[in-house]
Amino acid sequence: MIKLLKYFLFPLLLLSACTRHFIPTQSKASYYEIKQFKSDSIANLRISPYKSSLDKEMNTVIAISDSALTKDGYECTLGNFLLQAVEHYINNKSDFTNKCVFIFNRGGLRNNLPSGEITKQNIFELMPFENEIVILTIKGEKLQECINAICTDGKLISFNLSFTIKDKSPKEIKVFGEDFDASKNYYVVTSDYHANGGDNCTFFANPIKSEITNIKLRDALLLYCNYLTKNKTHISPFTNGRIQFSK
Amino acid sequence: MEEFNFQNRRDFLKYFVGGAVMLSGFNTYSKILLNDKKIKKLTILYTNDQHSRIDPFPANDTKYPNQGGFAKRAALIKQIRKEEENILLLDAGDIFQGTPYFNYYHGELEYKLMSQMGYDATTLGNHDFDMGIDNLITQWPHAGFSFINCNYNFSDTVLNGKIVPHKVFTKGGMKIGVLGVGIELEGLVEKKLYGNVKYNSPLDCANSTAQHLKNNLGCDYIICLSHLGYKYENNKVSDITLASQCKNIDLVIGGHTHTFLDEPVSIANSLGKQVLVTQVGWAGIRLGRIDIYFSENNKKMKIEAGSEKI
Repeated sequence: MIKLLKYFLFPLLLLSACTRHFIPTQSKASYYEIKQFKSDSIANLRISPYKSSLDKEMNTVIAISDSALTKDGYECTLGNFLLQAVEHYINNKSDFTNKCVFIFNRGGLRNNLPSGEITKQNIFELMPFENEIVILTIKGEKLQECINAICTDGKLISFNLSFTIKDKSPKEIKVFGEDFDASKNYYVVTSDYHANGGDNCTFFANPIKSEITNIKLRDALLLYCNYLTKNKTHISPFTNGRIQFSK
Repeated sequence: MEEFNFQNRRDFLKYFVGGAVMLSGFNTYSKILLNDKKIKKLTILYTNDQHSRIDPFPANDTKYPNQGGFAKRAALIKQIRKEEENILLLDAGDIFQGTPYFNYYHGELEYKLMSQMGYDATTLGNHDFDMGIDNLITQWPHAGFSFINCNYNFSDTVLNGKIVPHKVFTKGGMKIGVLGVGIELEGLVEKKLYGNVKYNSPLDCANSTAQHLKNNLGCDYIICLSHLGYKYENNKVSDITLASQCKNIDLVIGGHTHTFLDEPVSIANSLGKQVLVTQVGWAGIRLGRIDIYFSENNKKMKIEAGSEKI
């Protein structure tokens, strides 16, 4: 009898486990825009000690911008601002006097900068990452691979390079205004993220030389803002047409 | 935190009255359905790519002035909990990175607030590794929700045993299976940060996990939390690829590409069955909502996907 029960119950149990008890029949999708809601007071209480200590530091106005900076376009105002800041740091580095190419990524620029007052918070949101500046010495052929990548997907941004993009390939490449020479070595300033292969920057692997500066990209931006303010200069967004397109 | 001035109050009322009209329509609709005792409703609420946006964007932000904010979302979720019985609150990864809150407090406040809101689960996004896997362990005690991923192998890391490949949530008797998939970390996240986390094919892992959830664990509905990205121009695996090649997944809640989908996209899976793919941008600017009506008998009805802004 027990055997019989086992025999009958077992498949039954299995069957019930496999059966869907509830069948989805209809779905209705929507979304809420989190805009004009009153904040939850308990959540606010939880946030407030963190916020007040951050605000003290982050609300400091460190620069003024003549207009908003964005990462729209192949050569973008926000990217040029980062490149200017890093170039400023490199130019003031007393133990380094070589001309360099600058390579960073558009995706690493995490927020636009507004027009007018720029706070420390704005710079943190533009560059929240802890990545540091590195100076690589690479072969010309590797730089060529890098320029090819810039033309293929537009993910990387560059400085001190000019070229024309035709069918996603670079033409008339100039480095510091001179003709590009694949047999030469070049200095490339980038972040340790890219130097370690981030964003698939395989061309930076095994460089001839790698110098770690121990300065964060964000700190270079903050230093540059301080420098501008000290010299009573505003951030003036620009693009200079160093990348052209040809059909 | 935010001044509740007259302008705000007017907008707030307009918003809420509008919302109420919509919701009352919604309720009539659901009442008709729910009068039948065999019909049950599940409300799925979701976010993706919160990126440490604790505070709303400032008023002078170039794109999203005054939008987002954890405390506003907390109030909204509290309100929805009063109205709905069966709620699943989910997130599709990249909770971390983007504001000084993360640089200074390493994600502690994000996890605490999400726990307070009653999040059920999240999956790991690439930026959740931004302070290394050791930081995930440090912040672990603050997270009162599950971390779900089935295509990263954590066995050689400190996260071993902490991240589950899937989880079954029972809501009003319905068994909802949730699995998670993550993007390839190599070339995206520095090796020193993700350490020995090994990446496996998200398609293979998602299919075998979903099959297990359906056939062995008897789930009524299967949700995949994905940090693969909505879709790509090249052949990189995305939510669209996942939806078209899966078998048992009903809904993909995606992230990574910060895509604002006004309504879920319906994709035919490998068996020709419709799978919903959704994503709500980033930074907590939106809270997504999908209400699913389940029938207890086996009568099959047409699944409709409608969408409206509440």
